[in-house]
Amino acid sequence: MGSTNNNRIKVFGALLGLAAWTGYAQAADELDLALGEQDFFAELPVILTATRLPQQRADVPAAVTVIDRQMIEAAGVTDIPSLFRLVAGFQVGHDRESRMTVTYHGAADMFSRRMQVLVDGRSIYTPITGGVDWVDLPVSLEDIARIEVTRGPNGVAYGANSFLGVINIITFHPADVQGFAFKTTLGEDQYRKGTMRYAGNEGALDYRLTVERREDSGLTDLNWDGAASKEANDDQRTTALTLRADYRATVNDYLTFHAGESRGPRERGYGPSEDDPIRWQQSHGDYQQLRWKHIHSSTEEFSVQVYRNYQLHSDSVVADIPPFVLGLDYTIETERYNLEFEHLFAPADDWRLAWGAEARIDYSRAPGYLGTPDAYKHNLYRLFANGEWQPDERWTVNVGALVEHNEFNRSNTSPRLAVNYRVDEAHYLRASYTEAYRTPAVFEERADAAILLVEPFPFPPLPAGTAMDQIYYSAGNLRPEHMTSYELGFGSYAADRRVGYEIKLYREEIRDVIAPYIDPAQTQDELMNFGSYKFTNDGSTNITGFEIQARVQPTDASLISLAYAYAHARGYTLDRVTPDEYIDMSVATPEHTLSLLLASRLSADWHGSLGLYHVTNFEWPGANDPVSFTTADATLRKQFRNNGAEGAMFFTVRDLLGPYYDYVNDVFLEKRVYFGIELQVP
Amino acid sequence: MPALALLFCLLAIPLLAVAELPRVVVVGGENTHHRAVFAAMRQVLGRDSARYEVIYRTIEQYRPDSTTGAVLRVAVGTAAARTLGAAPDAAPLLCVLLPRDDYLALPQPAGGEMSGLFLEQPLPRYLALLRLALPQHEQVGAVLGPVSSALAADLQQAGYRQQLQITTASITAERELTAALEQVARPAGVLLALPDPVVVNADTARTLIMTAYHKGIALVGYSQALAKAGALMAVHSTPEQFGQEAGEMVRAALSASPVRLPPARHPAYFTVSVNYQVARALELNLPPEDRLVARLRQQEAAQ
Repeated sequence: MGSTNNNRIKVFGALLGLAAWTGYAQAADELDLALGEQDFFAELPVILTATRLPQQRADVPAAVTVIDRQMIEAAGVTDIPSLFRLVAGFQVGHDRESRMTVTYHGAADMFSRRMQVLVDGRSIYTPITGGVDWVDLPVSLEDIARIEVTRGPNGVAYGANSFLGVINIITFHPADVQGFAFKTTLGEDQYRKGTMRYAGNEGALDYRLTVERREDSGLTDLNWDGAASKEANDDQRTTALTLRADYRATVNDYLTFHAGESRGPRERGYGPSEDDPIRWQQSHGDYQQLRWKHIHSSTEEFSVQVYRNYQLHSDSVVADIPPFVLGLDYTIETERYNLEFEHLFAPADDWRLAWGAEARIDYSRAPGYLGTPDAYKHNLYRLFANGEWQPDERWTVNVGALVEHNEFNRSNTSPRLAVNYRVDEAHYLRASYTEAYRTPAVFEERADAAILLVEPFPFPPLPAGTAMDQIYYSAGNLRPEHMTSYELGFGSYAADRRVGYEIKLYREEIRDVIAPYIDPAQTQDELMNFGSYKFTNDGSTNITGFEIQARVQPTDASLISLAYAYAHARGYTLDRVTPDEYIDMSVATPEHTLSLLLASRLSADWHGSLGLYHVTNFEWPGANDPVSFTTADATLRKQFRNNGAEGAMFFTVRDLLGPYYDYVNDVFLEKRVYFGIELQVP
Repeated sequence: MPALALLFCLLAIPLLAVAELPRVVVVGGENTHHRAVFAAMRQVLGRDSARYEVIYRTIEQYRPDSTTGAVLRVAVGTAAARTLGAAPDAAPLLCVLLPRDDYLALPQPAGGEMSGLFLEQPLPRYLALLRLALPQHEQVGAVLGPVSSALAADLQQAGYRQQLQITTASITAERELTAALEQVARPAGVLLALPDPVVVNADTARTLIMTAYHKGIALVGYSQALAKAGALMAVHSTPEQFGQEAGEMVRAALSASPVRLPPARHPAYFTVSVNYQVARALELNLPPEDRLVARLRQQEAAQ
C-alpha cells in the first residue's frame, strides 16, 4: 500500500515529455495549407458516437437530472455537495468536523453508503464506510463541466453502491477550456480559495493542469436556540493538483490520462476532552487513471480503463485518563485498483447493446476500526449488459442485468426493465422496474473498534493493547441490502430545449437494511462495558412519492430550475436490543424537499441569481434531530471583457435568511458573504 | 524459317489490329479512392471496348513516351494532373478529383485541350440541401479558412438566391476556430462546413462537431467522413460517382471527331449522407437520403 512521490513525478515527467515531443513533431511537419483529396476522402475521428450521444430524454430508462455549468455558476456554491440541493429528492447535511453528507430520499447518516459517486468514470466512495469524503474530493468545482445524477437505482449501468442513486461528475475536456483561467474567492469564516488552470494543445494532445488551494475555518457551533456561538473545531486546508491529458493516438483511438493529488490538514475533536482533543488530522489522496477507447464505427466502440485511488487520513489520539493511558486510532487508509472493459455496438438497426466486465480490489487499513494493523483486501467482480430496443419511433425498451460477485456475498443479479413511450413529439411516458443490491461496507462487515490500553497497567497486570471498551463490533455474515423500485415517469421537452420537465412517481421497497444497533451486553472480553454498536440485517422501508424536475430557459442568459419532491416513508430499523427498540423510518425521509434556482441577466454585464431551498419534517438517522428549514443563496456577477480576456467579479451571500442546521442541531449554517474574481485568457 | 515468319505474321495481326484503336490513357494514384474511380470508369468505358482502348496506369507506371499517340488522357487526382499536365503530350487532358483552384493553376497544355471534374460540390447545392432538409432555418453560419474565404462573395450570392441569410467568419489558424464558431454558429442554428484544411481536419473535428452538438446546431458538411464523424449531414460525390461521370465525359469526348472534351464542371452525380443518430439527438426528423438526392436533382434539372 502507499505510493512514492518519485513514481508520480515520473508519470508527470513522462506526460510532459510526450507533450513536448508531439509539439516538436507538429512543428517539424509543416501544415499543408492547400486543399487536397485528403480533405474529401480521408477518415475523420468519429466524434459523436452512439454512446457519446446521450439517449434522448424520452428514451432514458431512469430519472436523470443534469446540473450543467450554467446552473453551477448560478447556484453560487462554494462546495460541490451544495449543488445536489438542485436535484429533486436530494438532501445535503453538514456535520461536525467539516463533514458533509449527500443522500437521496434521506435515510442516511454521515456516511451516506447507498450512493455511487463517479468522477470521470472513477468510483470514489470509500470502501471502509461506503460513503464519500466530499471535502477530499479530488476535483475542482471549476473543472466540472456537468454532473449527471440518476435518481433511483442504476446498478446495471454503474455497478456497486448504485443503490439509491448515482452521481456522475464529468470534468471539462481540455479542448473545451483552452487557455489560462484563474479564480479566487474570499469569504467569511476565513474562506479562501484560489484556482489556476492551464489547458493547452499540442497537435493530437490536449491537456489541462489545475492547481487549487482552499481553506476555511468551518462552521460555527451554536446552541440549539441559535445563541451563544462558539467556533467549531473544523478548519480545513487543502492543496490539490489535477491533470488530464487526452491524446488521439490514431484517427479513432483515444487515450485519456488523469492524475491528481490532494493533501492538507483537517481540524478534529471536541476539546477540551482527553479522548477527543482538538487536533489536526492529516489527509492525503491521489489517483491515476488511464482509459483507452477505440471507436470502430459510429455504432461500435471498445474501451478499457484502469485506475487507482489512494486515500489516507492519519489521526490517532492518546488519552491520559488516570489511572489509564488509552489510545484511539482514527487512521483510515484505502487503496482501490479497478480494471474495466466495455463494448458497445448495434447488433441490429433497432438494437443498441452495451456489455462489459469489471474487476476491483479494495485495500482497507483502519487499525482502530477493524481491530487489525493489516490491510483488508476485498475483491469485486461485475459482469453487465444493457440493451436498448427501439421497435419503432414511439417505443423504447431498455433491458439489462448486472451480476456482481464479491468477498462478502455470493453472486447477486440486479435486473432492470424500462419501457418508454413517446406520446407525441414533445411528451413521453416511462415505466420501469429495477432491483439493486448494496454490499455491506467493510466496516459494517468487519467492525472491531475498541479503546485500547497504550501503556501496560501494573495492577491488575494488563498488557498494552488490552481492549478497555468495545465501541463497534460486527460478527460479519451480513446480507446485502436489497431494493426493488417501481417508477412511472411523464415528461415533456420542447424541441428548442428551452423548456423541459419530468414528473416521477415511484415506490421503493428496501429490505434487509443493515442496521447499526446498540447491544448493552458484553461483546468481547473488554474490561469496561458500556455496550457496543453492532450490525445486523434488521430493517425495512417502503418509500412512495413523486418528484418534479423542471428547467426553463427563457433566454440564453436566464434560467429557472425547479426541483420538488414529496415522499412518504414507512419502515423501521433496529436501534437497540434487550429490549428491542426500533427507529421509525417514516421521519428518516423528508416529506417535502424543494429547490428553486432563478438566474437572469440584469443588464449587458450584470447577472443575478437566487437559489431557494426548503426541507421539512426530517431526521437524519445519524443525528436524530428534527430538520426543517428554508434558506436562500444569492449571487451577483459582473462580466467584463478586455483584449480577448474574459472575466467576472462576483458577490455571493449564502444562507441569507439566517442560521439554521441541516443535519445536527449544534452545527449551524449562518449568513456568509463571499467575493471573488475570475479571469480567462485564451 | 518461312514457317516461323508466317507464324510471326499471324500473331502480329491481332496486335496490329488492337494497336490501331484510338487509345485513352488513365493515370492515377494508388489510394483506395483512386482505385474505386478506375473501377467505375472501367464499367462505363468497357461497353465501348471495340471502339477504343483504355489503359490504366499508376503515376509510377506512366511513361510519357510509351503512351504517345493517346487520343485522350485522364488524370485522376492532383498528383496525376500535375504529372500529365507537365508531360510533352498534346492530347486533350481530363483532370478528375482535383480541387477547382488546383485545376485553374495547372499550366495550359501546349496546344492541347483540357477539362476538369472538380472535387468540390457547387455552392448552390449545399444551400439547396439546407433549404430542403431544414426549411425552418433561414440563417446559416460558415467559418471560412485561408482556402475557403475566396468563396465568401459567391456564398453570399448563392445564399441570396436561396433566401438564406449567411454569416461568415474567417480564420487563419486553428486556434481561432472556437471564437469564430461562437460568433457565427449560435445565432444561425445551422453551420455549413466548407472544405478548408484549417477549418476541418482530424484535430479540429472534435471542436467543430462538439460545439455544434452542444449548442444544438445542425452541422452540414462536404464529405462522408464528416457525416460519419458527427455532422448532421453532408453532400458529396463518392469515388464511384466520380468514376461514372469521368467515364461519361470520356465517352462524350470520343464521340466527337476530332476528340472534344465537355467543359470543366463540378460533379453532377452526388450523394447525401445523413447521420440519423445526430438527427435524432437534435430532434430533427429528416427524410431518407435518396429522397433528398432525388429532390435536389429535380431542382437542379429544373434550373
